[in-house]
Amino acid sequence: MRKRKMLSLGLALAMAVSLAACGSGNPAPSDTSGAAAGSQAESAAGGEGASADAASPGESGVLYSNGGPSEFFETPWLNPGTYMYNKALYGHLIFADENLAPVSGEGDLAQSYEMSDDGSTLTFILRDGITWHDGEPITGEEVQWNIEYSLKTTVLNSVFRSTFEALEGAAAYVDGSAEHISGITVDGNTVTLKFEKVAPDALLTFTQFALLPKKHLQDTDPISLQQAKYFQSPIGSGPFMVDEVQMNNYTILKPFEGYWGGAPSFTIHLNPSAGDSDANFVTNAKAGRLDYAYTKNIADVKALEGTPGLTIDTVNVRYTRLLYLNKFNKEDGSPAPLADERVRQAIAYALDMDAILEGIFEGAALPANSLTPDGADKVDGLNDYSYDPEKARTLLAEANWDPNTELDVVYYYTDQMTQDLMAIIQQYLSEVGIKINAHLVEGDLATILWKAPEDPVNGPSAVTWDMCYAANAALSLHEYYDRYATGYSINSHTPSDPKLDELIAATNASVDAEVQKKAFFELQKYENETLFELPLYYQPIFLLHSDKIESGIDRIGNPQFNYNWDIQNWKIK
Amino acid sequence: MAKYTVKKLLGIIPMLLIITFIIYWLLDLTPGDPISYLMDPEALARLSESQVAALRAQYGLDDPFFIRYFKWLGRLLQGDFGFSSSSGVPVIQIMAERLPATLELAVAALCISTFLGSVLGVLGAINKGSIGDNVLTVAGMIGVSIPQFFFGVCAILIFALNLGWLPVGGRTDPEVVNFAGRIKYMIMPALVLGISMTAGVMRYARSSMLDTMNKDYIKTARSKGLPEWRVNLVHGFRVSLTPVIVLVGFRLPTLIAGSVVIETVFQWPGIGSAFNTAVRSQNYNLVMMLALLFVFMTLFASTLVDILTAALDPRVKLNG
Repeated sequence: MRKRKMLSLGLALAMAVSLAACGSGNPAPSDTSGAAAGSQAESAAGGEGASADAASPGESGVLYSNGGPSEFFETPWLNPGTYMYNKALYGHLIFADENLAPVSGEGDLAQSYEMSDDGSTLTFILRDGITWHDGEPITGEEVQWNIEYSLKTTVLNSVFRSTFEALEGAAAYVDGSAEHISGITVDGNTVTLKFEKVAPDALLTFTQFALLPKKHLQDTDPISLQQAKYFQSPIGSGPFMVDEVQMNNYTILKPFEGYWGGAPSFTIHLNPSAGDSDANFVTNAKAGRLDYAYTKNIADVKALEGTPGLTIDTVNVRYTRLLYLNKFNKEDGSPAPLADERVRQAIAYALDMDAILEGIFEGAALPANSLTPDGADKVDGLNDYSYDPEKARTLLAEANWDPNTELDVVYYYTDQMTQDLMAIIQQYLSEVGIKINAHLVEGDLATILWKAPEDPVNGPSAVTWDMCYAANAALSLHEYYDRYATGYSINSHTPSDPKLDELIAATNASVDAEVQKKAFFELQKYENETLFELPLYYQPIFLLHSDKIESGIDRIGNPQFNYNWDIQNWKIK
Repeated sequence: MAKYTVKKLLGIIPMLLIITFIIYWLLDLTPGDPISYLMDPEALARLSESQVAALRAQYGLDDPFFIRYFKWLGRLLQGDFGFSSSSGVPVIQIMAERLPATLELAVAALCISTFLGSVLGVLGAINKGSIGDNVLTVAGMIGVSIPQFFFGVCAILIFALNLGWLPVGGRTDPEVVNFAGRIKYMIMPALVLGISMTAGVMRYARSSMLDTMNKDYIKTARSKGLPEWRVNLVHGFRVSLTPVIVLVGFRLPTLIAGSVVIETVFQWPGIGSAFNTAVRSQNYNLVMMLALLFVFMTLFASTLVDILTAALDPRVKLNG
């Protein structure tokens, strides 16, 4: 009996000890990379833009945001501004304004830049004395290394990749026959890029492409860049630097005193969340633990309506939900049901997007008549395809539509809103005699959705779907349209169309913004007429900011990308 | 006793092997692979075949299923738990960071539910048919029926947002330097988890106590003139706890593996959410190690329950 008591006592003690061990205070924070400490004070202190009367770093408060890492910091090269930390930690060569247009004149890390009229040469002159958060100087040679290294990774944004691949000698570098890209030359602080072909988004690229320190990544295999230890506590050159990381708990960013534009006067506390999907958005906002964050979820916005101290701005961004329409012949050689333009138009007329969006988004989303969202970038006078089921039926009759045909519709979003939308679309289309089978696809989406046919002119299709519900979050308008060009690597849906190819090529033929705009106008007209895809709606982003931000938050832009938000000069209560 | 323990522990090994094989196989059957999770589908579709092949080789996905499984097993036997495919962080580090948080929550919830469930269950049994007993029975039914997330959200609404007594979530803050400072973060998730589990323990304890109260030795104790409290507590309560201990023992591993909901609602940085993400991303190394841990804990709990049962119930002998 005594033995049993001792045994029970021992087990109880073991449990108590393990509980105590669990709770021995804060776990050790992740290594903030040894070099980060100590040397920043000697770095380009203050920089040219530092204000003399700036408050001491961190003295004025804490800004709460979300998007903190749960297992790693995401590389800034794929989704350059999705996460708050990527916008705060990294510097870019030049600034974009809140409309993502490159700002001329003075840049960010570049003191100045110049693009030749023909777009063949882009020259940056780096600021003197700029450093990484660990105090090491940022050099022109590192700019070259960043471009070259990024091209070998698998996490490079398509806009960046297009720009870098347009450089002279990029192809030779990528195939391994050259050690460097011959089109990049470095002379002290001057970096010159020579382009072999027009890179229409060259300037835009350098407003978003974050520079990473070569010293910490040069030995990392580019294929596994995201898995580098560096991304447990990255070192950048932006106004904030990593102070403490408690993965999946909180992350603290502190002011970088060596930032050329002056050190901020507050710290940033990041709650963990996955990108723009924060399950605790409302709770944290109501509890005063979210001062600056964005969401696409209208339900979050509705839940926060009337909350004292919170402002929510609607930001119209390049985010378009659409139906990709597969027009390639089927594998058995039969024609695609959507190859006929009249059928595509009938589908557009059959959907009452105003009513659908009112029902699902409570009016927060806007019906789309082009991939390009409303604004200066879009031509006037496009057909809105207003709800007209009779016209839809007429068009289907003209196209000899077989009412027994069932269209295979795929989607990959798992949210309830998507399922509701699919059910509603199914209902509307059935009313004009179009049957669809909408279903979720999972797994190897690259193959299931985007595998291009071997023959991009005649097909047959390498995918099995007829319509694919998806989204385009475009940094550049080219991202919307380039994918429809003949032979484009992810064009799984649109067979060769010489007119379309010609219009797309025209948008890529110049770096001149006005020339590009006119070319896009022509392309939008053709898009609207032929519906080579079916744009459904534009989804805005909702930017939340609290009254803890006393001043500085004057420029409201797309929070998913980098623009000159001047965060180092924000004043936080 | 030692022989019995060793025999039990050795019996765990083949079961672990079989279960890990099944999990690895099921993971392999799910559509896609880690690459299709790690990369945006459009970015992946843009890669050349050689780049995709290099990526697959990098993650060891170019081998047949059996080779991959046995390679994993081989590395495991050498003490190499591998790396998370999504972050490159050693699996052991992820477990070391996340498991304490989950254990802390699970043990606290277990203590709360065991204490409340046992006491209320026994009180219900002693006062069988009374108003209190009926109230507890109804409360128990409600407790079992209310989803944890709803209970959690209500608690946040009342105690964090309206009253401002407790933080909305998280496990700690930069200002917190010791365990005492973190208790306020644990109160709500532990109570919600604990109370939601209390109903089960309470009903179990009540039935067990009622069963015990009808035993001959209880009648004997009463006939010997012992005070009622002594009959209930010393003779009844102690024996009636045996099946409750079994239930509680098995709940610890279940709690650790199944705390995803509470961890999400309370932003608790535990292992449950990591396991959930790892399964969805086919993060083989992490899923396998966590699965191994959960299975081991379940089997270990089973052994522990046997020992505790024997210690508490004089009728059980440790000669197994």
